[in-house]
Amino acid sequence: MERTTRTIAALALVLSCGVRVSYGEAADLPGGPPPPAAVAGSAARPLPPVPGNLPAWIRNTKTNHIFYRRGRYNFDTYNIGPLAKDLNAVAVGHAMAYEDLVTGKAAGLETRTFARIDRVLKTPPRFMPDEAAISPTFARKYGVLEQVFDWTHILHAQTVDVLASTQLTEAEKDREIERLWKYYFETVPYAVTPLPLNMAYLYSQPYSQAFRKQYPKVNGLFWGYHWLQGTMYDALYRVPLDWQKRVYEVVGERYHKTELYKTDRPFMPMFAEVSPRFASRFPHIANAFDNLHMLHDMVNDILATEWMTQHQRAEQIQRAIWLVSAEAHRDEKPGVSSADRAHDHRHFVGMPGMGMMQGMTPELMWMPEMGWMSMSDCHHCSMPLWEGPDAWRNPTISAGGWAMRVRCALCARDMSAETKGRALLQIPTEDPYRMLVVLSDEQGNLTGSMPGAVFVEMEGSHTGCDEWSRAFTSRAALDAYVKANPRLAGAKALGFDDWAKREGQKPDTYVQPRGSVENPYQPQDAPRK
Amino acid sequence: MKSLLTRRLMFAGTLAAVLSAAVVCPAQRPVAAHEARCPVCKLDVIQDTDKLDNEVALKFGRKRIEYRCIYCALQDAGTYTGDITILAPSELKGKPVLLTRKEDKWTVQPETTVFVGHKVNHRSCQIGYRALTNRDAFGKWVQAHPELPPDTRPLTFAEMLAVANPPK
Repeated sequence: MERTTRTIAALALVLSCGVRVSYGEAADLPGGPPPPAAVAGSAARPLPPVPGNLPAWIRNTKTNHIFYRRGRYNFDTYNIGPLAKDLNAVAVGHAMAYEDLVTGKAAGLETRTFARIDRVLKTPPRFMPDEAAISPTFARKYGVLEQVFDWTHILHAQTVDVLASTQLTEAEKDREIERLWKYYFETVPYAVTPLPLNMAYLYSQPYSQAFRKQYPKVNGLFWGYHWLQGTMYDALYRVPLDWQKRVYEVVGERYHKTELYKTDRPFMPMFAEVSPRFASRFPHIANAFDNLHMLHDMVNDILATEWMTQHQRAEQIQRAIWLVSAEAHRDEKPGVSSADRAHDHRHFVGMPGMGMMQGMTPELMWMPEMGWMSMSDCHHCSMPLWEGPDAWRNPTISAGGWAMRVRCALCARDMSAETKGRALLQIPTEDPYRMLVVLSDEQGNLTGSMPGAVFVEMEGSHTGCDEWSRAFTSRAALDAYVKANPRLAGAKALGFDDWAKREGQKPDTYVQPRGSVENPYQPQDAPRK
Repeated sequence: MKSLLTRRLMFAGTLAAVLSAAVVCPAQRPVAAHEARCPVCKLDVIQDTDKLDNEVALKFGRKRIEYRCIYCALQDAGTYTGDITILAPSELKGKPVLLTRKEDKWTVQPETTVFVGHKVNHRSCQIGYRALTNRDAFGKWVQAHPELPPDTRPLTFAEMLAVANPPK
């Protein structure tokens, strides 16, 4: 039955998309239908010039669909049915909003369009639709833009297929994700750059924030989709299928009940804020997805800006595509600053998969409801996290819509007890490919994915917590570790139930980082005393 | 021999004290490490000092969630299904007032507790919403905080609940 479903899905996609690849000639800038509803009191502002040397592909308006890279994992996202359906609904939601925005129906975006989209989100389609079929006007007017979106969405879809595959080993999954990236990056000229971009710059254009101010509910949906499209990676990465399904029960509930309907986010959800493990392992992919999502925001804002002419809109969309394109940043390097903020590729210390944000420095990052933090330190004990090739050793805790990396199993467990609501803990063992997945219920009761897991927890100063608090897949692995670390001589092996009931002391090393203001998105905030 | 016996008695006594403290006084658990923002008002949770406790904690099963003031904790109590205990900092360091909801019935310990329930700018909520173990302590609290009018009246727990109006 499952195979039949996938075959139908694949066939539907092939038929609806076609497989023709064409790089069309440059076309004139599209004209168009009436503009969306006005922003009250908005006045025209000078627009940044469009670079004169834009490549020809950026003006292409011809059809240009490319199908998935071949793989035995294709459509395995359907192994986690509710996730697959939710992703199908995301595609519909995007397309419906864009079509209404460019066909003179913008005035009803917060009411009629929102209600239509919401209905789809609550009763998602069984198969992935062709977005161009739902938003034909948008696709016709902004051809290459639609292709940029579609192409990166295919990368989204296929990487998630890989993660949900039961036929690939974890090592094979890592390799296949890299192959998918290569396919994405090298097949077309309009791939999105894998470099971190300065989000503060991209979100401070003359038109920025027009969409969220005018259409907060629909903008909330867009950012809710982006939350899901980021969160699903850590939810699935290194997690066996039966637990992927259990984890998605938690994630899906959060998505449907809360994340879709938030209208108070100061910025779109960033990939590394919700999937730090995947972002640390595949920073180029995390950056590409963030850059794509920023392109969505920029386009939304351009389309919602009433004081721009159709010609200016089309030009600024081309400029926005160029700003996030790989071609615009050829031969540039991650981590390198530039006086031209469009080419500022700094990232946060300890997190190569996240570009700079408003009011933040590489050393200090800010998140709503969490405040200031260092992405290179444990959020529970402030000690440095594992880095580089050892970064997989950092456990994570996901709760309340965010995910944090911590330094040891104790830090993950105790932080989950300090956090309201259900939580997901992902705790590495001695085997980089075998992750202990732990779910916390509302009351903090823990359930683990690995019946034979054992722990060492010889609590002392958190300067050494990465040594004295660890999880293992078996008693033999724990004994070997203790034998190799004489300081742990006499350490007791704790079974999961015993470990889950423990509570550690307040870490002696904890320091709360402080930024220069309370909230960098509220510049009127007085500097801290 | 006498010395060995004394040491053993002292050890047993210390062990008993530690164990009983752990069982009888769950409030003595060290404060949460990660200084999250208050889930209700989103402001920083004010940390305890050497002389005064400030962190309000809500215990729900194994969870221990921190709030900025008792108003926020009581407001949020309605979002938890089941028994909870709120550890409300009092004027006495290390001796929080316990607000317990068991089978939907609220009780307060010690019973002599009164509350300041005066609306202030929420950045001063630790002053405006505070549990005090008795009326004398209440008087001293009001005197010590000019943000509160001198005629501020002590509230019973029932009145404090009505002020915070926790949803059912």
